[in-house]
Amino acid sequence: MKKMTSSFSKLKGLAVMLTLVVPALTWAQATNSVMINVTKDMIKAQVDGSKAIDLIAEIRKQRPALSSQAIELQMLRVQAKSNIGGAQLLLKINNDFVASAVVETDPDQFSVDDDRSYGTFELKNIDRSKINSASLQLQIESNIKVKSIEIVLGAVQEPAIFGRYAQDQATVIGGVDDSEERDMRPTDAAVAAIYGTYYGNDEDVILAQQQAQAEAAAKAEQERIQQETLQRQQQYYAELARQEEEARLARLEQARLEALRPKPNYSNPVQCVKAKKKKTNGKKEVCIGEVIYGVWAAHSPMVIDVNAKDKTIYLLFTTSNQPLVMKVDDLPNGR
Amino acid sequence: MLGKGQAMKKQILGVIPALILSSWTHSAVAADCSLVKPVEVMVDGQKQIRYDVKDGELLGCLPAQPKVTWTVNKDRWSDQDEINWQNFVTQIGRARQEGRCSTVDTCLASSANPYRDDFDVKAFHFSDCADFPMYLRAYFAFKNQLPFSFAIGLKSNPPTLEQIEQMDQNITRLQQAVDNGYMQALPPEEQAKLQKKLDDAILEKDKFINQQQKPQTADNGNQANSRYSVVNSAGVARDFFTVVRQINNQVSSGNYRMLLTPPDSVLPDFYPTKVSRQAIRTGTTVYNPEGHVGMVYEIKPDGLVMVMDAGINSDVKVYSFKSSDFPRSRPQHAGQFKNWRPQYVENAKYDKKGNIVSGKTVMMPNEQILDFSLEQYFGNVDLNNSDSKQARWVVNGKNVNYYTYVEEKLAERGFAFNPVDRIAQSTTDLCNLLQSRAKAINSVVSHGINLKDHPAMLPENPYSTSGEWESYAVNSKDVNIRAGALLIMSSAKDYLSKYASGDPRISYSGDNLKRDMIKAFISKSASCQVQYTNSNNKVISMPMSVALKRLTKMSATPYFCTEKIWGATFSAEARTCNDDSLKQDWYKTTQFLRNATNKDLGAWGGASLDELRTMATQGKLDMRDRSAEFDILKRLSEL
Repeated sequence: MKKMTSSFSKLKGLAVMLTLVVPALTWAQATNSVMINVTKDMIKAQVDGSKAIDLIAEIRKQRPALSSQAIELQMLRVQAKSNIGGAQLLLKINNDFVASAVVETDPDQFSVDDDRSYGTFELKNIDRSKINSASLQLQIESNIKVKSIEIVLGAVQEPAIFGRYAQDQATVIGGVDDSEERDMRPTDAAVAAIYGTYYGNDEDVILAQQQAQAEAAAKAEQERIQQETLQRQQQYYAELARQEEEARLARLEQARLEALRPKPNYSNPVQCVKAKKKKTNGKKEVCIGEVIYGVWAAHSPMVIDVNAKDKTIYLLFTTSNQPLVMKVDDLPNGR
Repeated sequence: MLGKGQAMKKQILGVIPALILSSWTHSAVAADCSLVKPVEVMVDGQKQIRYDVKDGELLGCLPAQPKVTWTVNKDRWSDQDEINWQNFVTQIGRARQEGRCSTVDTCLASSANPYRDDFDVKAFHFSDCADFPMYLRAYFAFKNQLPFSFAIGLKSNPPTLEQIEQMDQNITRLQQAVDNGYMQALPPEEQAKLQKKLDDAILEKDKFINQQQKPQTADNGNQANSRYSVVNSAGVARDFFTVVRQINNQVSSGNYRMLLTPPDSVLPDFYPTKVSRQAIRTGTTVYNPEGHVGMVYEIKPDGLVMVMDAGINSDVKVYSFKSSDFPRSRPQHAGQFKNWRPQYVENAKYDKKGNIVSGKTVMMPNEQILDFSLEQYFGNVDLNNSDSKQARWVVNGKNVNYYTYVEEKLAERGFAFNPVDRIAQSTTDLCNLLQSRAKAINSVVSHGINLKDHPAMLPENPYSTSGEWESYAVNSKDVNIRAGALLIMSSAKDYLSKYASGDPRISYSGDNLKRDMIKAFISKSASCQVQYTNSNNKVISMPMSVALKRLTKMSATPYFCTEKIWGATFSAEARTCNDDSLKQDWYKTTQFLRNATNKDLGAWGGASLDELRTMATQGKLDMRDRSAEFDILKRLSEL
């Protein structure tokens, strides 16, 4: 095959030389391309329902000189654009698909009448077989607009292999293979070992279950203790808070009462009133601001005002905001 | 485990912050019976009027289903019954593959079903992924008057000592973090978060040791408490729909998460099978421990296993068995290929018509099953091996990985595969996945989920959760799609390697394998497109190639507008979206989910938007634009 290929290349080279020397004799496909402006009537429905453009027919329409020659189709450059979902262009030669290109361009440009809205897509022929038929097939034709096709004529380049692939040793087929008839059941020892390796046994699991139960119980106990601790702490701090609040309210009340409590009337020009007899202070005079001791058990009211005319005194007890009004002579006498 | 000192410290520190539970609070959707009505569906390429139920929650809204007693006239399945079962499964799978039906109901109502009769015209069949194999097996048994039984009442297997120690260490570490949080006077929300992690770890341990893990994700798999049997000792007669409603309600992917069971316990419905063309066959189930189940409907001569499954909305899809769809996991998860455990009725009592009226259903133990094997987990080299990390698979004298081993063992002797066909099949699978996603999103729209508020937090595990997220989000699908796309590229590379080294398993007679694989990819993608309804009720069509370009922009979250769910790129497409600024923030901040190619979970599970923002700022989330990694054509060209 290699020899044939080599001879073929040489012959082809000779053909190119002849072409250059005698241009009238043969048409130099390698240096030419055929441009086709695609019209709707070029796109024909195929037997299988697909839509395609007959490239050979179009080439021969444009280049009648090629009618008698075998065509070498190297590549297509297709100007196309697509709607939502895209489309695919396929180069079909001799009923074989040899190249494809995905067309997915901006659908917003699909209806725009502007040459710049088209993209260019290349489809390289990879099969150098003699061409009997060639077509450009449109997959999902409703999604694609094709403006033009440039058919590049010339020698086809088949795919080369780039990697190194001859490193594996070949498998020998047809050798003795007794495993077809061989009993492939594992030995009892293997089954027992497999079971022991890949499956848990009841003892381990029971142990694990007991351990898990113990852990769960320990965890539950911890949570119970923690809950209890929390409750106790909450109760303790709630009591503290309650007491503090009580004290705070008491202080507020005290302050309120203090604010309301009448003050000794030092602005009264008459500061003292005279009794007939000595009082507990050892004097006959009882004056504003004076505290009366030894008259009421556990109470020591203060004189906050006096009325000299009717010998009245105003006594303020800490237990009341309202002063007690009494005649100075009604005060118990001192010793 | 709470240390004594730590416990004391906690007590001394006083007030415990309120426990903030961030459980996923979205409940299952209340059944809206107005959604259940006869509609036109395609069966065998013709329109038929049938019910179109997209959600198991709505089954109760259906009119009464035909009541036909399940008679049993054989005490066990014969070899011929098993062959008939295989043919039945193949027919259903191929019908789906050929597009003659699309759901469990339409497939059973189609001509592909050799047992279709008047009963199926009147009945409505529904099953989701885990129920699907069980539903088909039950249906086949019912139609062929065979016994049938399935495990119920699952409980998770207990942890190993090592697992218990690991959990204890984790709890101790989290407790220390909580204590440090108090000591350092962290903000209350930080403390609450630490406390939540601790509480979750304690809860998870409790569930594990008390064998109450979620069956679908149980660490060590499950065991069953009992069985539900059509022939039973009590002689209770059952009708088909009574049985399958039990399947709908009781069976989950947890039923497949059983490898070995304790002695004398209820045996699982399935057993892990040897890897060979005789053992892995049509009707064999395939379990993905991430929570999905498929069933083999065909094995191609080149070893390619074709699988069918049902989605949450009873849609059936077909694809080839691949590592991205069925990743390996720990042995106790019991993933990969599993066969139906043989069963028989013991002490069967017959009536005058020859029907079994009572008897005890007995399941065959592993040691009596010839193709029982643990080689899928422990390799095929040493049958004494009990360490999955030492598993080795050798075929024809060569060490290979598990998936290659399966493929080579399932290929017909000396049969090679064509890599070009494989790429074509993988591309078709990818297309089917995208179309299945489109159907799921249509269900989101019809239930108005996209109009709801985004939940305050991501689920702990978006790939396996409950409620609305589980019913409507497409996180798992999207991961499979992205992984499937990457697998096409890595497979192509692998095929080139095998071809270059002259691997006789490769059957390719062309002159440029890379070119032909590219052509196969283009050819299959040319006929694949998806559609969605935007917020203005306009249907948008999109070629598969465009959808692939948007893989890291498409959101799996059902609470976004469909424009975001389909990764609208241009403002012209996005402007019909009415999502508020909060939803837009969610979308921006969850780029890492749209980049995911596996279902690994990170610290983001259960995270709030603020937490995600913080993680993104700290570089803990993959917020890169990784769309270029999924440009399959470009990457194939660069091989």
